[in-house]
Amino acid sequence: MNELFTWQGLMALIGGGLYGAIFGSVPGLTATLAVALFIPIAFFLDPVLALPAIIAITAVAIYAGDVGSVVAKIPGTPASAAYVEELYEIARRRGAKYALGISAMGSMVGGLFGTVLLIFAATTLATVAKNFSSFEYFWIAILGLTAGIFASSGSSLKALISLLVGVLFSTVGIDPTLGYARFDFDSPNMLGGLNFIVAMIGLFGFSEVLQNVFARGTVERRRVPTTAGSKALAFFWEPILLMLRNKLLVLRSSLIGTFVGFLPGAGADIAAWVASSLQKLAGRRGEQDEEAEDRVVLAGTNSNNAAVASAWIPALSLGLPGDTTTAIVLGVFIMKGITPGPLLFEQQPGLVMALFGAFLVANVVLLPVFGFLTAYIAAYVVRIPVNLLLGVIAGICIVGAYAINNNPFDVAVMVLMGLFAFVLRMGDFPLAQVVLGMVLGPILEQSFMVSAIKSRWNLVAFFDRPIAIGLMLATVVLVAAGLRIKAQAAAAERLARLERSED
Amino acid sequence: MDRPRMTNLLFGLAFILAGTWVWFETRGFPTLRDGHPGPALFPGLLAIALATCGVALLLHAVVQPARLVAEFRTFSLQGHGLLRVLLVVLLGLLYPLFHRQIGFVPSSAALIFGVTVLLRAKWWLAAVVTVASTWGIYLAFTRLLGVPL
Repeated sequence: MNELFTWQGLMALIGGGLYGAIFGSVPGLTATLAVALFIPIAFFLDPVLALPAIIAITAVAIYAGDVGSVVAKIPGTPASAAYVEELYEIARRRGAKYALGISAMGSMVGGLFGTVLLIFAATTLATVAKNFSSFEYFWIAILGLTAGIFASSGSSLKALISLLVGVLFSTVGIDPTLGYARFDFDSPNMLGGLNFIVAMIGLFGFSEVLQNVFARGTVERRRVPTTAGSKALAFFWEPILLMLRNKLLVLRSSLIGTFVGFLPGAGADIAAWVASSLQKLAGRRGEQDEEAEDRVVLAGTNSNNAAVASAWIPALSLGLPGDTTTAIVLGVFIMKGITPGPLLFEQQPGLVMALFGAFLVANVVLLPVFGFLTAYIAAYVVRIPVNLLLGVIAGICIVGAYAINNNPFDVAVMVLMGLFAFVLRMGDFPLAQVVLGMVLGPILEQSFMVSAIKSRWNLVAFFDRPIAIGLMLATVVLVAAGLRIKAQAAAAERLARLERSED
Repeated sequence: MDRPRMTNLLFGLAFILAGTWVWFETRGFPTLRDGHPGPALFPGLLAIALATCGVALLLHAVVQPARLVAEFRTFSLQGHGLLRVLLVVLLGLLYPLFHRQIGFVPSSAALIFGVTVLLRAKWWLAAVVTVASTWGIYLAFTRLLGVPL
């Protein structure tokens, strides 16, 4: 712990936070990529410095993924895609500082919640995670996909189609049972499947460029964003007040984030989707007020940073990666000759304490500071005229897609995904559900096939285990509630239309 | 037929065709040794679901009264707009080719300038933005983040 509060330790945290903020803000450069590129540096650092730096990188990069959503409606991470529309609208309505303030403060509280559970309940929670088998993962994926359908504000049928298209995209490449290449068109580039980060840049970023190029001069101009009150007030104080007004929502989202995060292989993306989808659904039940969008963003940001912290629970306690970042972290542990698992807490108490300290510093100090810095810059960027900004965005989309694997094929995939999304937008199909399908598709297929083969195709086994039954019942309740809320909303809309026509 | 209804009809037909194509594609996939479905199972099920949703969309377009279908966004197929979109797509698809031949800076500059001009920016302003952003992106990726381009 003492090493963390030396000048080298603080430099590692600050440097990691800054590196994460820049990486997360650029479309295509994710927290995972940031950590992966940091490994050669980590190799030469003491683990007490390298691991806290990784914590700072991930905590800040996940937040910074929201900067692209605010500036140009391009989510930096799949987690940010869950509430990209809402965040973009808040930035136009109340200014970039307030929008990113909700994101940073929400992330801070969620991250702290996850950290507290990591400190006090790591071993207990890891034991729960151990009880999750492929059957439970199958039902979690079903629950996430169902939430995605009803989270759409438009037609549920169109949301379902977008979701099916996303899951179908995820089947491209080598299949998980026989290793058979599907829909590869005899191209070796397709064997690894469609990279969802590349797809996301195309779906959100490049399609935005195409949409504006198509409707040049005929669409409404972007509203000029305004900043309410002073800068610090908009970034720090107003989001804190929002959280105080929605304490139960904060608790629920942080719990969801922690729960999903500590399941090996799930992580922040699914956590943000589940929490924000549930909030969208809950919001539609009541009266729509000005804060409805703010609450959706709050739910998503609370849960994704809670998941970042809790993903370390199985990594530290069991040596199982909670997400891709902790998978890399486990590699760093091995590289440094440290064995993760229950004995880590006894054999390396100093290191464990340094990790806990790093999480606290990253969430309490780095997130607000770098958050404010990025929000400050974003507030100026959103004022650049749209035709100039979109030219730059087109360049960043192309370079971002190329930089992921240094593969020109990814650029072509990104451009074609952008064209596909442009066509889908014309039919009013939601795009976020395509990303959700691509994220959850592999989990759904793999867990189904593993479970089916394990049970010798006795499908009753999917309903045998208590946790699986609980998740299935939660899905049924979600479908029933979703249908009811949609029906109520449709009836209210019909009534309003009737009243308007009578007037 | 009104335009929103036509849009849903076209999308419905497109998804039926896409679902049918995927389903036929999966027929050639192998099964597991014990005869149980393997790689074909998931895409096959998704194909059926996609085609069914296509039918539902098609029926929705035919059966629903026009005023309810009108909730969907309308659009018109402006010839010039489509041409501009295709030009940007072409620029994007040609980028890897140019990148290989002439390198990052000129190929990225050409793309950014092309898109900015297509978005009706004045040519000199587009040129300034192109130079500044190409330089900025290059520095940010290669020098600051250590990502080779």
